[in-house]
Amino acid sequence: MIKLVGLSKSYGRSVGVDDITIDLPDTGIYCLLGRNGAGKTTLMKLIAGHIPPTSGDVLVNGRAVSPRHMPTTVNYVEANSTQFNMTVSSLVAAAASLQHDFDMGFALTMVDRFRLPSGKKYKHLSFGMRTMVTAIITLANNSPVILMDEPTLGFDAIMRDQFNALLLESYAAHPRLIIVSTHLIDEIAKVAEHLLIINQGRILVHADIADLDEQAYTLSGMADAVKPLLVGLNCIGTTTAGAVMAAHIWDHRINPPSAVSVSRLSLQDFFIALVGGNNNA
Amino acid sequence: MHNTIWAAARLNFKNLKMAYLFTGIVLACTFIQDVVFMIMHAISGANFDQQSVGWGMYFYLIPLLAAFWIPLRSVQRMINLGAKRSTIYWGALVTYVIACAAVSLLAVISYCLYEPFAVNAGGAVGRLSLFDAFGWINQGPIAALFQQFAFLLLVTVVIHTVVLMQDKWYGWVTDAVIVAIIAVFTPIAPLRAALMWFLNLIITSPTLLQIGSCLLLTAIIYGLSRLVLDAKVM
Repeated sequence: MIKLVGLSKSYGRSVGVDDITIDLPDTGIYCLLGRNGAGKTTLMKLIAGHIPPTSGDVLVNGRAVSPRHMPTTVNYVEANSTQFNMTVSSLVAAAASLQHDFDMGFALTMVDRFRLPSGKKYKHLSFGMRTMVTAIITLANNSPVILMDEPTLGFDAIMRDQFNALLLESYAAHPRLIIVSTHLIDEIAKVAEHLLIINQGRILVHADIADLDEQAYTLSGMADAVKPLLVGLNCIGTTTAGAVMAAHIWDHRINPPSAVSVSRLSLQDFFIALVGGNNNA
Repeated sequence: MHNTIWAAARLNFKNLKMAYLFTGIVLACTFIQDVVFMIMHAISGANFDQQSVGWGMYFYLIPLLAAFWIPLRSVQRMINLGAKRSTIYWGALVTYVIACAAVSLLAVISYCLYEPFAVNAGGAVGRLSLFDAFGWINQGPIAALFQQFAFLLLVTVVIHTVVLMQDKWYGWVTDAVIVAIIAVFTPIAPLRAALMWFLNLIITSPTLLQIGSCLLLTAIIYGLSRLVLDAKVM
């Protein structure tokens, strides 16, 4: 459904997105990870047609996307975006009237579920509640593609958990392509099926999270025992403390000798190892 | 017309509270002044050598402030509510057309019904109005209504477009060009004549020509504003 072909976006000398070519499927929950300024928001805005590419194309159902030809099938809203200072219920009603395919029942259910004060004006809501209102408006849209930029910004732990549950609920009700960018990596990993990692405008990883669970792991032990095992393996980072070494691997599983232990590499550690910079080995 | 465009226009009107408030305050102040003069005139029979701005002109504030408010605030907020740019674009135009039409109608009604009463009852010399100043009323109130509508719509669309492009380099260039036209054209006689010709065309030319030229310019400028909206980074 979505095809990015040689997609680049520059802001003067600064590169936001750098020559990305990728196909995204019709359905699935994607987690888009990247450091601040890695190009996550730029990539989402390009897919939604909010900004024009410098070069390359975004094709949605075969049609090139641009601000003049924004795809009606893609809905993108920034989580920390401001809204009209209207009551929650008025905002939801306004969103329903401005969009072609808005699930009002779902939106009202979510407002109720999150105990949002429907009669309270937007400016009088807490930061987390404001973010939730925007998230609800985004998720209630039945578009085949939903792009959510930092949807859990300002949420407490309980709200984040509820949000993840509702994301799944929304997906179960309307299977579609949902891309969520976030910094709360391991939390979104509970619901996301696929992972995209972007760094300096380029896609570093496009993989299934289930595969990563299998392929991303840490070998720990005495450095003398660990180092020989790394030959032929894709080691994405190492940590040493004295004679002890931990090597983060993204490759096929091996059966190490008993002196070396294997542990699961969390998504956050995988991300840090991959884009975090230097090894300290 | 698509429902989403009407929805965008309704949302624009709902969120023009500051414009309504400001206009209401100015109208209330003028009305209080009128009442004071009426009471003084009724008590003392004195006439006052004063000529205040007519009510109708204060209504202009609504479309003019809307032309600032919509590009500055509403465009981004509607995008955040999931609206498409085409919806926002046409919704804003519907808002301006309705606002200018309603304001023109109110201004004509005010000019024909309230102003004569306020002048007589208050012992004033007269009331300032664009209908008199530009001679629109000479062709009758109906023609005046349409002339004012076309002129007001043109001004509104110009403001909208200029405000919309302020975050781009060409917005600043446009500002500079407008200032340069005023500063350079005014002192130089041939350029001043060209400027006056243009102003006469959109203000005081024969009714159909004035309306036609204003609407044509409105269409051109609003058409260009679509390019500005498309290039706007949200």
